[in-house]
Amino acid sequence: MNVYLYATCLSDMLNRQIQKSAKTLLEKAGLKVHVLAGATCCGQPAYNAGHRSAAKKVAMQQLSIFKEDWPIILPSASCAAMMKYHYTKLFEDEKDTFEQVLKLKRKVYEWSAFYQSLSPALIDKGAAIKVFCHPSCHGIREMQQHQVAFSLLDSLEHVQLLHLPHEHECCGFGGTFSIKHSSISTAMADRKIDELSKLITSHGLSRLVGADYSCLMHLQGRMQRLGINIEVQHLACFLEQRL
Amino acid sequence: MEKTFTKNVKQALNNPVLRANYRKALDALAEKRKTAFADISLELPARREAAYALRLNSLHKLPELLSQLEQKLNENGIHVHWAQTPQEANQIAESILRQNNAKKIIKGKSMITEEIRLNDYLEEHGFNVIESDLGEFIVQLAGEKPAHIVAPIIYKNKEQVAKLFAEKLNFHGSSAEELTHAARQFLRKEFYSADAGLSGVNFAVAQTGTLCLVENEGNGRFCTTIPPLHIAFMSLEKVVEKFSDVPLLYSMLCRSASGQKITVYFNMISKPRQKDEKDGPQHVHLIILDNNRSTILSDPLLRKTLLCIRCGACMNNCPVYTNIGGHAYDAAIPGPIGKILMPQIAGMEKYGHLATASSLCAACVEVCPVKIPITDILLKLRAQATSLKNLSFKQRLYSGKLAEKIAFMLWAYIFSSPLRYKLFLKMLHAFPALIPLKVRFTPMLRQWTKTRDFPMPR
Ligand code: SF4
Repeated sequence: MNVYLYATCLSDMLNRQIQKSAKTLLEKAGLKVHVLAGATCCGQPAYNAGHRSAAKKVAMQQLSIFKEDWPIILPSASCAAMMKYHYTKLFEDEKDTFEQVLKLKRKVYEWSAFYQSLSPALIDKGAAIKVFCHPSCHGIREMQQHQVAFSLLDSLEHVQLLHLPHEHECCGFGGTFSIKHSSISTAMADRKIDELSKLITSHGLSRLVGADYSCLMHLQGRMQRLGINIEVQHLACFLEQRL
Repeated sequence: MEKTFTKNVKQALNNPVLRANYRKALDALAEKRKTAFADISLELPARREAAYALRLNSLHKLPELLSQLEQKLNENGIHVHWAQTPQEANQIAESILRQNNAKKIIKGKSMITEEIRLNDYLEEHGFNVIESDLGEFIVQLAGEKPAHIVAPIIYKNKEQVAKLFAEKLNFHGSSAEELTHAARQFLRKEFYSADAGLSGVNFAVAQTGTLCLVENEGNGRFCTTIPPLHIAFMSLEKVVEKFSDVPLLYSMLCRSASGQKITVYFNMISKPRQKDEKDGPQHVHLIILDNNRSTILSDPLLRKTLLCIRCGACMNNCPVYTNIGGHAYDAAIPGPIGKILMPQIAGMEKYGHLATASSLCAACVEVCPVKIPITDILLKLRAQATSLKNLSFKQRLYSGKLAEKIAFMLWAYIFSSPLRYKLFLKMLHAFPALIPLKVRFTPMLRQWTKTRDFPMPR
């Protein structure tokens, strides 16, 4: 089976390991993976900030690159949600483009959900470890698939998945929100980090994973600033290391 | 206005007691809501859908429902007044009070009177206004403003209330029961001596001309039955078509607001006192406020702002509200619903910045009993706010709007071309150390590194 992997701009720019791991794992599960050439960004940063024409300009570019009718897999729930649920709103008045948008919508999948649907062999070769998996808001409330990451991790023999009292609460990233309202955004991160710190001292939590790199980048940046040293990894990278 | 907001936020974030009060109280409310729906969890999606459809239907038919309501109320002997603006609503209330020679006014809980700042207006004009809802009573004693639409004193803990009572009422007690009892004793006298009672309206039924009032303390019933004059306030979207529409909305409201299946009191007001009746006000008036809502109604998406039944669930579940508290918004209606409603009723200049103060996590959308697409509406308001049309050159420059627009145009220029994008990535990875540095020194992006490290590209 052929699939497209949409790398996402954040992975392209800041952490290329994510797309590498996402690709490797899909290949191990027997797929032929084509990293989409010409993919840049889904347009979400501009869309969420209200700059619709900029968002459209970039989104248009994405619409034009899918030559084959293959599933499109994104290692980020928020970018997947953008293409699956928000392109229809962004292009609602564009009758020439709308059909293309609908076609794309049907083919978009979030990476962890797609990966799990392949029933991959999850033979854990890693050492015993306690992890927390941050469910992103887009994973919970838009793609509605955040349980998938939990269940993937739960099936690993040596991984103990820990939970937080307010784990469904937003980490505070929110794109331009994290810049425009830096102090609120940081306070939200701190709430999450407080709970994480408790798990570190009381339960020996040693890694933070998640299926959305944007949240992880935000939390990691804040933890580094606070001097809390715990490894942060995208779910795909974590899984690839252990399988 | 954005400046005030930033200042308020800073203050709130630096107040650990305040934040702990909010966290504790909101966690409890969110939990109550969850358990309240446990018995119908499977039906919940269908009920939300039904409640949404029902409210939307009322909005579609608003003009005819409102005229039907007016006609019914008139038939029943309730006077109806229309107010375009808060100022008008206040003036109408004032003239009714003056005609009836009313000086002392006892008031039930009502968010619309916050919207029009009725208390301030009446007090400035020589009236004596007493809040009778326990929470609002405490807010008034403290000389503050409600911080939540259902639980006005959510920001205070019991100890703070006890201290306030000791100072202002010379009452010394500490348990919730004692404090409530003290307030009740104090208020009881006021109910009997008030010249007029004021209230809000939760649902106004067009078919029967019935004003429904939802409450838990019985103070609403006191306000609307004991004084000789009752003035009710509602914004125009509160109207529903049939009486049979009410049970579903009422149930969704109670479960979402306080986790109750039903409230302790549910008042249905349809007439002033009749000849053979022993109680009830002789005169009942209803003031219906527009305050820009008829404009909001003309937009199919923005219209949905008016579906709201004021349950407060969106704030109870909002991580921004939980962190900064209700007062920071400096708005009659705070929280997620306030972020979409306030800019629309009180103007983008005053409240436009609220629309940006959301991470779009959609926790509010998940719990809203009438399925208001709060995040979509936020996005639309943001899109409207990016327009530079009505801004002077100075405003463009100093608001940062122009800079933001240029930044996104530049972004779109690079990201809409695979070639330019590739080049951009090449440069980025050739000098990875430059990026965190650049982030540190770019004015806008500096907001990131103020509190967070930026990752080294790899
Ligand atoms: S927006 Fe929805 S959740 Fe918020 S107060 Fe209104 S009805 Fe309740």
